[in-house]
Amino acid sequence: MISTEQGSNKDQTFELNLVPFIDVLSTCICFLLMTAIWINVGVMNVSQAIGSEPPANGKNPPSVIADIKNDGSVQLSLKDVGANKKPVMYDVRSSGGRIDWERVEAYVGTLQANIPELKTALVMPSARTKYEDVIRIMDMFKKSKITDIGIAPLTGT
Amino acid sequence: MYSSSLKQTSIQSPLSQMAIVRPKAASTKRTLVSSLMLTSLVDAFSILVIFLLMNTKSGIEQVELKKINQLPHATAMDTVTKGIVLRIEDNKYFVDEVQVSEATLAQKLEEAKTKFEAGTINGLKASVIVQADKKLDYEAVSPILRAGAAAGLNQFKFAVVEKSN
Repeated sequence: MISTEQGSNKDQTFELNLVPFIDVLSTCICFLLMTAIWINVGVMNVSQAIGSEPPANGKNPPSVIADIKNDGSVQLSLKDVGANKKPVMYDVRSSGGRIDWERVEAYVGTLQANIPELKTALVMPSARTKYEDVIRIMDMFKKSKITDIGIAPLTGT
Repeated sequence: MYSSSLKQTSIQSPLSQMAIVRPKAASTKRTLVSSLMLTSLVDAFSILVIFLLMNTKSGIEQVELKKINQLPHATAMDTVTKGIVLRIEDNKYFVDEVQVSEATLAQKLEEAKTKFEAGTINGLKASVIVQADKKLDYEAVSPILRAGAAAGLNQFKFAVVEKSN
């Protein structure tokens, strides 16, 4: 048997000094904790139609239009749903000058169950509609799996 | 001569050392090893570092941090991607941090669009990231949509903060 260390009783096992590793990791953790941002910021995507391209098959897809009035009332109208050419209207009156979100949410929540092919929505705010209300109604549509959302700019601005 | 660090850090029992009848301080026998198991500590720290690194938001730099509290809340939102940042502050418009008037908004957006699309390799289409105060009236937001349409931009991303349920 050949041995390179004949006669030596050296201990071949050794332990790494882990204290510097811990120092480095502690510094990393402190840095990351101090620079971490705990608020989750995202975006609400909106695709605006430019011009008026006719649909490919000559038939408009079913859509819902949310017309938000200055007094806080919301008129929701369904268009091109099934064979019904006439828009189906649903009015939500304002509650104390503000939008009655419970009724709007209840109605929007039933849309996807009743009309699964509904993927298009248009929001038509008024000049005095709050920006957060516009985002909130868009959020409701998104939650109801209505993905193609557009916003109508004000006329005459 | 090399000596194990584990052996170097081993100590003798203080009770045995203080014994009068048979003190063990004189003997070479060691009774208690006090070396900490640092490996598990390093493992835990490594996991923490990896977790914190994974949680680092890459798109957050697009949104100015001091304005986060004023952004509207939403639950169904997408991640922030690169785009032309348009901020409304005190009814003034800022395109990529440069103040522009409402009359020149379309022109500035078109310039920013050309600059953005020239800088992309994979032909990424420019989009407008809108940062506005949630209490703002829609009449202040509407000119952005008109100007964007005039500049040939049809993708708008409204910056929001995740709503906690």
